[in-house]
Amino acid sequence: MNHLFGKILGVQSLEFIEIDRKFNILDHSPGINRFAEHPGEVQVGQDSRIYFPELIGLEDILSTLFAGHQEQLELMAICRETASGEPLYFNFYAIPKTDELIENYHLVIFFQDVTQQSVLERKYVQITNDLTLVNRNLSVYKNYLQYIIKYMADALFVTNASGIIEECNHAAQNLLEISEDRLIDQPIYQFFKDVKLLPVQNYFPELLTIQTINNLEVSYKKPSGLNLTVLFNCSLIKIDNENKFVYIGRDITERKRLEKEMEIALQKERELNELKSNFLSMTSHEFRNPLTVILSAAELLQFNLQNVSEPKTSKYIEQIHKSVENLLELLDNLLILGKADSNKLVVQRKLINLADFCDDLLENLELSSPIRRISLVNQCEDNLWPIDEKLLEHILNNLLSNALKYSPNQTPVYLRLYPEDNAVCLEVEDQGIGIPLEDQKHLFELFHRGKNVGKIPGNGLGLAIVKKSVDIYGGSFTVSSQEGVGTIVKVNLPLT
Amino acid sequence: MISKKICLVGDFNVGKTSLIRRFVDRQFSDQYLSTVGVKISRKNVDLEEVGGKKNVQVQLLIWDLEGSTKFKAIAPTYLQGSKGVIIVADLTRSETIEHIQDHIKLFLSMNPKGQIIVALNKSDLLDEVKIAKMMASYQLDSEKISAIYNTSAKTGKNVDEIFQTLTAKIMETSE
Repeated sequence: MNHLFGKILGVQSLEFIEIDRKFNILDHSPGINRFAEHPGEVQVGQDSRIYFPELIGLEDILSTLFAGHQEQLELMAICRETASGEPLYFNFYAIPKTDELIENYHLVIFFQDVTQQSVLERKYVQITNDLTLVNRNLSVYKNYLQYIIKYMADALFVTNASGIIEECNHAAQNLLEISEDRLIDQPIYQFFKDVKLLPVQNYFPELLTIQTINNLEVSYKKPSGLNLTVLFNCSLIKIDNENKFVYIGRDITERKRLEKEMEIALQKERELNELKSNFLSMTSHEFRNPLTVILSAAELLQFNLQNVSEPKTSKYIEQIHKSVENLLELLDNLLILGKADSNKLVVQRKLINLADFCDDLLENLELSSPIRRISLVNQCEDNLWPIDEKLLEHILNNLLSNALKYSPNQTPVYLRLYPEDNAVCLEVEDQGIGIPLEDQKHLFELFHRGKNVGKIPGNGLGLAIVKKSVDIYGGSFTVSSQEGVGTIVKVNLPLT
Repeated sequence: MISKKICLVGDFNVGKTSLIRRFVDRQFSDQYLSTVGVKISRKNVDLEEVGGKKNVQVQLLIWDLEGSTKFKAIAPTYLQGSKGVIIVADLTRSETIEHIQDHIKLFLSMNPKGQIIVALNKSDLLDEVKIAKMMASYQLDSEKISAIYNTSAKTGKNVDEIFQTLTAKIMETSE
């Protein structure tokens, strides 16, 4: 007897069919019907495949059993749905049986009910598979989160309640220029050295109730020496009943720099607006004075022409004349300054004879003054010099006018010209009223005049024009002056 | 009537039972119930023409095999005598697609002349663009595989097609 027979015969819930080579049923046990697909009478002589579809397709294998080439065939845990809808599980064993009388092999197929253990196994498999899926999904989400944290652009630190770093991402390492192994287990405030990042609950006890604190701005110096400003948001999370602090940091150094630049630009704009407003107010004031004089003189002449003596008439006409001259000078000066401010004044050097230039200039200046008192000391007579005539004219006209205007008629005024390195130097010296010390720091402010000018006419634009002209020229000039002694202005004009 | 045995093979929870239920009973359930052992279903498939014969009806014996896990492989005895197989994978679980080759190898070891169809199931969970990309990215041995379908037991997409195509392939080669 086949050893499998022995194994299975001791098992309960066992039924069988016996089939011939054509798969027709030769015999069956009385309870076989419950294993058949369509419960009903399993009948001798019928094709076994009608009742047992698992035999379909196995014909070749069963033939090898009939031929004695294979000892047995086992199929485990075949599920059949019963009429009640409950599953029936059975094992299937096919074993050849020799019948010496008919000199042929039959097959005996045993059906063993394993429903109870299979249902239990299904529960176990279900739990195992469900857990496997849950584990897999957890693993997928964990990877997903780690991926986000790893590659997020903002720096991330997780610390414990004592501020010890427990986690950090790539961006954090890049921001600090410190590798992960040198960050983990170190206190976060060690790197930022900022009171705001001290163990957070000490500095922000309110965090324990409000959960999040935003916009902690701290400084950091990279190992490479670069200073950064980092903006942190800090959140409190609870893991296993333990407080953890999540810091998300962003490098805002560039943003701060731009903000600072913008602030400077805004400040500059405010200053410019103020300057413009002051300029307009002062200009109006400077225009108003001579215009008032002209208006008054004209009214006096108009309404009192019959009663005004001839000398008084001449005086009024002279006042009108002087006021108009002042207005013209003021306008000229403002035009020069306007051109300089709008970059319309540019250096245009051409070769000139400085001796001739100075002679013409002095002649014009002294037309208005009967006493010729400017002494010219010119060491640049021999050659032609590359000079911008227009700018030189602005500079010398203003310096010499000032020297003549603010010094008594009997004192000399010196104009010295001499070469120095790759430049021409001009020096204008007078022995006039000088500039008080407190006014010297306002020398180039528009419309500013020294407190000692008295009734000497002027509009306070002359030195501003000189300064602009020398700046455009790329030159330099110095003023040394002592109140009551005189003033020396030295201008250096580069030749290239 | 001609009867043919086919098997559905794949990792656990890829939707083998759901594909059969959709094909045989025209039903679908989202609830996952593990299969233990094997369950056999019958369904008749009508073929318009096979080897010159018209209107051929084939009875399919569909073996729904317990899905493989890392703890338990597929029992090869179930595959004996199977004329064809539908290897099922889950488009949302890449590892189930990576295991397709192993299932093919096992099936061919038992049935060297058997026909193979691959069903990449649960396509309703992904958009068409992603499905197309995934189908293109997996290099399957096309010589051994008759066809690859993206299927959905939930919507019924390509479900009849996989059974119909496999039956036709089996009949063509058995003539």
